[in-house]
Amino acid sequence: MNLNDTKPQPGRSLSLRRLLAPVAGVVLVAVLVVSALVVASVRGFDRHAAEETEHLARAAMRQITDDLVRGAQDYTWWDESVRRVVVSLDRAWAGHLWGYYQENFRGNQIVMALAPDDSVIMTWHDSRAWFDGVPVVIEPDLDLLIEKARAMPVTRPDPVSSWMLIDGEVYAVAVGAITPSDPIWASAYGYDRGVGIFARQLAPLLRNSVGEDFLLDDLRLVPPGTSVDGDFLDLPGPTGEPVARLAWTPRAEGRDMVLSVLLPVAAALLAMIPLLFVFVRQAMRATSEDIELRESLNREREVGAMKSRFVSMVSHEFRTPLTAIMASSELLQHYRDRLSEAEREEELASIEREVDRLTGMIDEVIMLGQADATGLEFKPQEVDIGPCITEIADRALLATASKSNITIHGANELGKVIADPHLIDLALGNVLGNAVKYSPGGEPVEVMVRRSGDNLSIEVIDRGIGVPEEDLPLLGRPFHRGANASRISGTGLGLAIARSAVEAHGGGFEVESTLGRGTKVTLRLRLAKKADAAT
Amino acid sequence: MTDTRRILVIDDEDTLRERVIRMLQFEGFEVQGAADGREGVEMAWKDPPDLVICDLLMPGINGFGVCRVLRDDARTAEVPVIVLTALGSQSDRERTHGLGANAYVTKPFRAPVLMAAVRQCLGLDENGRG
Repeated sequence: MNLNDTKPQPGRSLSLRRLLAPVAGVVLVAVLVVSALVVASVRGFDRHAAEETEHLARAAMRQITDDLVRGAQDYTWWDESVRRVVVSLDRAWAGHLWGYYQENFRGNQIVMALAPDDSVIMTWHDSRAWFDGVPVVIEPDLDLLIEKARAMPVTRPDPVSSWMLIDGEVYAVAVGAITPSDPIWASAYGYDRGVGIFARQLAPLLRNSVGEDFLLDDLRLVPPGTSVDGDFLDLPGPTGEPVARLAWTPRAEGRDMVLSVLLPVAAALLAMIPLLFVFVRQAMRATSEDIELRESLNREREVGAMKSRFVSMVSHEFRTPLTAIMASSELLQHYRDRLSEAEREEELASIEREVDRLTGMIDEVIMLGQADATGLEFKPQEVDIGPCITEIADRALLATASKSNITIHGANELGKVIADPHLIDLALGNVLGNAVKYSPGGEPVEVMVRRSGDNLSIEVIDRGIGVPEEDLPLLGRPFHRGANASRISGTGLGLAIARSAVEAHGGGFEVESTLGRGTKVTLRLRLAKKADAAT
Repeated sequence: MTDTRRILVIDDEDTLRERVIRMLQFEGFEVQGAADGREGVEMAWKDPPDLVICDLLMPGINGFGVCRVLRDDARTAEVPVIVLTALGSQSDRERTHGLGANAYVTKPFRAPVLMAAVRQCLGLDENGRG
């Protein structure tokens, strides 16, 4: 180290001061400008938060209303098209009789049925109050709703929905006419028409769906007209007058963070402008973390929904074969001497069939787990597409004991292609299995195979029960089943696996369907240029 | 037994319903089957049986509805009902009990358990005598 360097140098100090004066001025101006920008961005953040919150609240309320309208449609008895809507909401049995609601729908609802004279036939708040007992205060607004419901056509009412105050709480309400007339119902209750009202308390629903979002704080429902500190949304009742005010305060964390950082930053800026950039970068990172957090919350919700569909599937689909196995085994154990030899054989064969069914379902779950965890591997090889598809079709018929005929067009003409036979098997096997399974009358199934350059398309056309329109966008989601499929055993995994398989094959699938008339599934696969060296 | 007791089995699962019917026939009962709640209620109203065995989760009128409708009609108000179901929660039991079901057997079930419930509901001893 050169000590001379540490000696005072008056001339240099003076020039430094001269130099620093304009720099300080520039820094001061920069600080002011930056401060103004930061304050503006804080306000922007607040405004953004408010807009985001309102958007979320509105979306959640729209969702709640939609669900309720569907719920109200439950009350149109004996209407297949209604039941399918309900089932598609995972309330697998809700449409069957005045609502058998799953656990998560209990506790938080009021359902009433009104006779034509407006007397309450039944009301219930939770599972223990089925059909009778719980008094419900009917607000005057309800009359209007009932009137609207009455004015609806008898065969296919479109329920109305609204917000209303019941017992001082805000409820999302949907109303549907109970139709059409049914002899058993009419005979049992002495009337053939009524109004079903489906109401759910809003506050807990909102809290569940948006309240935990990072932007929301202090979400509350207050009487209409209440002055609130923060943002609010007025909920109109059936007459259009507000019945409640949904109020919230955008969570203050963002503002606090910025303000608490602002002063030290401003001070530090005088000495070190780069800190500003650090701050800006941190703020940007915070925003991106917020987005990530929101995405992760959405993912969590989807996983939660999938878990619930899985539990519902296991509890019903697994119990059915287990019950059949147990029944056969009990017959053999306790009534063996009364059964003929042929009957004993049949019971044993039935046990085997049911075990196969269970094993198949478990295999599907495992397969999807693998596809999810590691993705399906693409191993192209030379495939003689005609025999390959014929074999898959034969297996689908065998597995489902279907009476359907499967006719294959265009496959033999294609000869050999470079593709992955295992992925084709997974995709087409599941789709064909569905086609024959959901053609309970043994209706014929057709397979059309076409090649266009590197693309192979396989269309599977059936004339089976079809898929309800509402379910079409949800097909391919794990454990989701068409609402009209509840009487036919299945895991809701077939199309999810098929989708993974075609995607691994560089393609995708499309489903077109008309309820009661049939379904066309198109599998699109991208053919490879050359086979894997290993194969 | 002096006269054969008649039992109606309502279950939408064909294979299971047939097996339950077989078991009951082996025990000496006269048994009819219905594939859903609506058909079951109509059969019960037309010719009231001595006992109804009913699944809960069925399309159309489900088991809860069957209980309710049977109880509300004078012809079937006194007919005992055994609920035979995959639903096992306490609240489901309570609910069917509240609707007038006399016994609750969960699926998968053991034959002796179902037969004990049948005999109890019909007021029979172990040898089938009333």
